Amino acid sequence: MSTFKYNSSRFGLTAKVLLLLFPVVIFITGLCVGRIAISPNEVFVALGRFLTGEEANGMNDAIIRSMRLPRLLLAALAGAGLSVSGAIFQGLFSNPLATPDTLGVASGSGFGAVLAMLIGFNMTGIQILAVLFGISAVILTALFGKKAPDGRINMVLAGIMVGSLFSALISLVKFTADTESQLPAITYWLLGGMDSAGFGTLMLGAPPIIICLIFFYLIRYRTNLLPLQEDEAKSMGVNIKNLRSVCIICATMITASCVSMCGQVGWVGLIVPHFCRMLFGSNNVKLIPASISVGAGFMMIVDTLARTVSPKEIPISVLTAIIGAPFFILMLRKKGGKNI
Amino acid sequence: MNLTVKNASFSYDKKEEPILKNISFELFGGEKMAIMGQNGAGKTTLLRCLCGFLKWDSGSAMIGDMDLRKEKSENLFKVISYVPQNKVSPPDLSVYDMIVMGRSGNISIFSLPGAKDKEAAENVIERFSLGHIANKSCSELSGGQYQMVLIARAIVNYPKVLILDEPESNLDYQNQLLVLETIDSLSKEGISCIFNTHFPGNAVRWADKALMIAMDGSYIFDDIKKVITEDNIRRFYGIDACIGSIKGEYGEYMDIIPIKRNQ
Repeated sequence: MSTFKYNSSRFGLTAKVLLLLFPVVIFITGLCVGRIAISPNEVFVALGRFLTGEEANGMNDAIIRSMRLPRLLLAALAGAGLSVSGAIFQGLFSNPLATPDTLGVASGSGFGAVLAMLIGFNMTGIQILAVLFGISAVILTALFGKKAPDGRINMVLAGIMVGSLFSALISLVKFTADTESQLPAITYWLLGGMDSAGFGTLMLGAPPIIICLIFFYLIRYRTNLLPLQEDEAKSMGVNIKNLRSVCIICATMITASCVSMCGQVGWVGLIVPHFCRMLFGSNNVKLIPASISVGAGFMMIVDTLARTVSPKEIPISVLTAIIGAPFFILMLRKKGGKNI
Repeated sequence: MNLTVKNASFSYDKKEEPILKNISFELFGGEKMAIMGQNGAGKTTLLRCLCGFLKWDSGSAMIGDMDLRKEKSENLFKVISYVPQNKVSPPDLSVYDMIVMGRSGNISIFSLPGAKDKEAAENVIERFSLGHIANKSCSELSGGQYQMVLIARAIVNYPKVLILDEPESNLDYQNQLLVLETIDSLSKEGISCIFNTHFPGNAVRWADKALMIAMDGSYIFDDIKKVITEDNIRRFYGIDACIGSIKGEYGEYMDIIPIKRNQ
């Protein structure tokens, strides 16, 4: 006599299909629209030629191969990556306000990148320095924050300190930079954008994001233990310290790689996981795949808008905030803050 | 299974006097033990040592022939289950998900809960009549409901020893009785239960044994009726109390009324 039925309707077949289709539809749409419109048919033909390794043929191929395709891939990866690391950090610190930048990764990476620009490195140099400084920032945070009974709140505080330290260093670099050429470049870069995207950039920056995303997807059930108190989690017979460390390392790799390619993109890591929680609940078995799909789709929409709505490209973080904040407040009011 | 602790000591600061000094006790399968004492006497410390969250400095602790001091935690928690104090805000997971989580030790890092795990959870949900809230988020439950969910999550692993940190604190009479009756029925199935309590009245009604810890690290361990005396209450709690029997419809029961603090 079963007295209850487990309610899985919030993540039924329809939801799964929609989550799978959403980023694909946005991706195709993103390939079609732009200053020069390309019809879906032409897009499929061009994509087919690209995937089978044929020579580029005509302007459509050139636009798709050298501009829209790498941009959309980068946007999808950055969106999925930042959303998942946001979801992980929110669990890890059992704090709904945690973002991928809570441990100072984004500020550290930002500093690495602008430093490389000041020295005059090329894109590869910028990427490498950004990732290195992002990781250093988290190591600093971990060193400062670890000495405490329940180290989590100390980690957050140390992260805020390290973050503001690197923000100050970024300001210092801006202050020293040449106001004619370097300063505008640095400022635009910090506002975030997918315009640096090319297959060369992706070759270096995409693998860490993809590997860590696959890893988080595979351990998604285990990550449900992250918000528990230390003793409580240990009593599940699980090594919670190792789990936390591995999650911090992977979320850091994702965030640093994202910042190294598209600058400091704010908000995504906060909005997307919360939006998915409102729709699908807090169980990471659903939340991680949902964040990947919605994050990728959301970022591709934002990037497509960024390069189409005005003749001059709008910085990404401006758009994420302008779209994200009102949308988030609307959701919050509708749901009355439940699931947050 | 028997739980045997011999001459076990623990100190947070190894340079200072240990907070738990030469603790020895033996608990048989299906017995209930109440740990009592003032705030800060070391009740929670003792529970945390028993679970292996803190390491004993010396002495021995065994369940059956398993050495609690040496066993890997993944094996330890197949025998022991721990019910944390219900004081931090619950996570936003459904009751069902929360109870399945108790099986985490049996689910490999790359897997999802299997049929066996779900069945174990469903059995506990039925046994505790939690079906009507199974799909509700833990963050929406009342204190009493959440405490029952925590106990359900602990027994989903079929433990031999159940360790509960202040299970009936912050609950009303209804829920206190619900929790204590549940502990009682679990002990009748052979599960040894150890719990902290601030209510000597509950201890004397429900526990078989008691371990009372004083602020100086000394302790007594005996049958509950022998431990709850006016002398002991004075020594371990620093208060004068009246202890007596109350006769009623259901028989005669012992109760303790705190009267005044000793200066």
